[in-house]
Amino acid sequence: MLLCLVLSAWAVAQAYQSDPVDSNKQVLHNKNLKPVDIYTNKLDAFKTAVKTQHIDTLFIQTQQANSVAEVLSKYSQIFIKSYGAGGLATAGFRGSSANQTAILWNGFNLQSPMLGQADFALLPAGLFENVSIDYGSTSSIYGSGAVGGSVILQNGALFQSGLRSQISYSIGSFNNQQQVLKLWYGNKKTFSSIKIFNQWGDNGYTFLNQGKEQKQTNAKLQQSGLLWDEYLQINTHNQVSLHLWVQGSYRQIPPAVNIPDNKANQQDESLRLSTEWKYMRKLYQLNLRSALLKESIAYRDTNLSKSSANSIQYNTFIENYFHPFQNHFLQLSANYSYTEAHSDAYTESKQQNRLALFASYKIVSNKHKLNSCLSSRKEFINEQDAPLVSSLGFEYTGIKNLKLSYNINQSYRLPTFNELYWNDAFAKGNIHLKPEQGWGEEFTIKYILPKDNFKIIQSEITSTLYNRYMDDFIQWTISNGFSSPMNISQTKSMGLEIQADISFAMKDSRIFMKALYDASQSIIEKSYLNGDASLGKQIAYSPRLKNSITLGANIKSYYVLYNHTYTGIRFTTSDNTAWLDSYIIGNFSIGQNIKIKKTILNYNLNINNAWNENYQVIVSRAVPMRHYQFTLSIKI
Amino acid sequence: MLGTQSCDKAPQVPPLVVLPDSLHEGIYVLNEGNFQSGNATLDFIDVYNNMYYTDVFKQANNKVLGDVLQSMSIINDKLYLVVNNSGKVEVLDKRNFISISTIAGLRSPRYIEAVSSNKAYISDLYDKAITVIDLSNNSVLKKITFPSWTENMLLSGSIMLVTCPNSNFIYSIDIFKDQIKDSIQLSYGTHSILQENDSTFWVLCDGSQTKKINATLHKLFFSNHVFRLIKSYPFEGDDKPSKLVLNKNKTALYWLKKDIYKMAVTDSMLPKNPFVNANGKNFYGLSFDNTYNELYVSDVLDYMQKSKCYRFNANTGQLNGLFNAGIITGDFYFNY
Repeated sequence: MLLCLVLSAWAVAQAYQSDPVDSNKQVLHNKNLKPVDIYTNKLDAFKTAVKTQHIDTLFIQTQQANSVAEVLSKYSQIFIKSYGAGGLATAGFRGSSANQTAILWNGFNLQSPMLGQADFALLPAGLFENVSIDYGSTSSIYGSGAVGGSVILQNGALFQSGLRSQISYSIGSFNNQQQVLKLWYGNKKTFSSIKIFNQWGDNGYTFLNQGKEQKQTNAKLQQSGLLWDEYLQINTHNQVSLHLWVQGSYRQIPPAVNIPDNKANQQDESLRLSTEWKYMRKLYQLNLRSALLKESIAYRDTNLSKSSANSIQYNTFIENYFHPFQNHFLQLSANYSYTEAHSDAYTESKQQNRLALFASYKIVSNKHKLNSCLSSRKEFINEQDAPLVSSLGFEYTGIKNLKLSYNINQSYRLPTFNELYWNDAFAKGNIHLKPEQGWGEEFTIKYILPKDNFKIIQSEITSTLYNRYMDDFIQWTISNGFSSPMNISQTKSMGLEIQADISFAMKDSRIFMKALYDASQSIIEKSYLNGDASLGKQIAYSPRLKNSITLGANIKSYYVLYNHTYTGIRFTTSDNTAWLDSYIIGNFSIGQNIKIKKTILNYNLNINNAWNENYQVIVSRAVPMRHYQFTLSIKI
Repeated sequence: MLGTQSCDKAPQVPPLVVLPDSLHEGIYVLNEGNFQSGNATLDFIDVYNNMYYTDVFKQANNKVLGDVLQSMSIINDKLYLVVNNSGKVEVLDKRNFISISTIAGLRSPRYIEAVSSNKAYISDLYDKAITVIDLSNNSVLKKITFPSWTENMLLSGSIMLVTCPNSNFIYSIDIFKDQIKDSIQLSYGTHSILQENDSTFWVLCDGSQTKKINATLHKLFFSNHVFRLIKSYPFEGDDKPSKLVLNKNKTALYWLKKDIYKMAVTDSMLPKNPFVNANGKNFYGLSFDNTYNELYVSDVLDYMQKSKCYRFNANTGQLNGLFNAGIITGDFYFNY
């Protein structure tokens, strides 16, 4: 570790002096935490009229021993397709598939090039101080995969904070335990952060199967990893940063309900290394960032001796930010990536070279009442074609207490390596696949109540209407005797999202509420299959409703949270003839932050699925009923 | 919030056609269901009363059938349903579909074939063995070890012929000794096996794209334990024919290769043109109805909706009828 610290000489995190929009620098407040400066990727400044949700830091704190999947499931409008505790969890929103959900870490998309999706169950929430969500497409900026939306994982840099450390221990139902060590050091020019975690669990929970109690088997999880962030401000004009995230997971894969246990297990290993150099002048900024993303999966069960897949990706961005005139901002950027993947199911190692050119132009009116931004992106890939995509957004704040925004955008999702190159006795990839592509728009009204009313410290209601049309939706079907992916349908999604936040402050206390409402109709509008009964039907595993309300209070050093989430029925067949019932989950979090001089002692108790709901998110996959988790942390 | 949830109602489900107390003859429609979803179903068509009964196992037994209904046989007037990924064979009363017993603990069963009124063999994808079943109490008697995956079986006198898709061979088992007696080398991926007459057999081999071996149809002479290859019909490089069936008179072969193909058993070449064009349908299951001289074929569309099943005249290829079945209809069994 010392060697690592010595090697990490370079780091930075200071806001660029002429950021085009305020959202590039956020200060997140939590009564019990010091303000932390979060420096988002500079490209974020060009996202205009994109609805973004920042998960409250208190919510993340209560879930620090859980995965990002748990955080999103409870506190966002994303539908998490979970195969049970510790099992695969993918994310979809606004009717999108898991492959249409980007996950960005330091601006790099972590979707697997082979599978096209990310497993959110393997992302420990405790590693991140900030989790935010972009709803809707940002393909014109972030490229392939950012169709339904994006999840953004970030950490902050706290300069001049000195040396701090935190140690946490969690224990929960089903013999789940987690240990986390965090170290931070910040002076005037550098900031270092190291987080190390280790966790395991048996997950042998009981559930009801056709009225009878049954115990989950073969569900152990072991996971450990390290996340290291270094920032260095060399001088006024030069900043560098380095980020390393190494993680390994071993998990058993429990059988589906009523199916014999074939003792399946999977080992996931990943190494993610990224660096960034920023060169900043008054009217120009250059960001040069690169990443090495390596992942491997080894699967084994009693029937298959071993099946493995691994990929390595080198990814480099050159981003040029110009400030040609007052209130005018321009970015001209390029992204080159080389990906190599190998799977037992490919005939040979496969390579892919991708070059993307993208640009944005943003104009802010003199009184900052109107922002508008146009972005375009074109990608060039060997042996494949990608569409030119653009987006145009407007934000208007000229009416008191209101913010109006409108965004029209194009999006796309390139076929994955598996979809292109799979080749075994039963299934065969399709190198002639076209990218999924389409367009959408969204209109948002945000109403902000004056803060001086009734001791309100924050109150806003955000309503968003959206639609999206996607062509050439890729699905595995039969072709010439093989299971094979094909572009088979056009999809249409439309919906309404409402988010209401209100916080009251009283003496030594704060009471707050966050309500989320999401009604979505996502249907197959056109199919290339003859006689397809899915036409006009809701897309499978796309709930029409997901609503939640979170009530919380900070009273002196205590806090209590209650989260109540309704997830509507999910059709399990494309013709909507079979479905899983809706479910309501209640979760409590209770804790206290005790300050003793500079030391903060935190204890937190989570009661998950408090009403003991017996439900399935995915057909035949059991999930735990009521369970508990207790965490003790000491921060010095 | 709760008010809006009333809009999230499940669709109205049409009432099931209730099973009568006793049924005898008809067509069994085997719906595999989605892998790992436990939604395999068995439908039944009462052809004399023109009634279609869905999910008869659940109706009769008030529980789901299991995961991936692969095949079935009728033995001693009982239904033997091979539920592949549930690792079991459900034994049902033929009259009312009520479960009599369950042969559990199998690894990945594929087909069951009666050897006699007392004994049956079960082939298996992963077990590298044929499981021998005592039909008197539906228990496992023993296993016959094989080098790899065992698939289709065909009883010919005192010999059970077995295909092994991960090999170049078909094997013969002496049904009295329950031992492998012989093997014959054909080409890679032996899969379907059919009998044309006392001494003529047809075997469809899948080939292997990864091994760059073409699928091949073989015509064999087999009598008095003597094998002889009569003729081989190799397919084109990327072709993957499946579901080989024979008509009632044993004069024509049919198979799926995206479309339906037909070949007279006397032909010297594979047909170039399809017998029935799929026209964009995803044909998956194919069976021959001897009574009405019809081909039953399922279109499984996107694998995630009810299959559409078509009946074609086996002589002309004319469409005679269409009905909806369950998810991924893989096979039809005729007993009337």
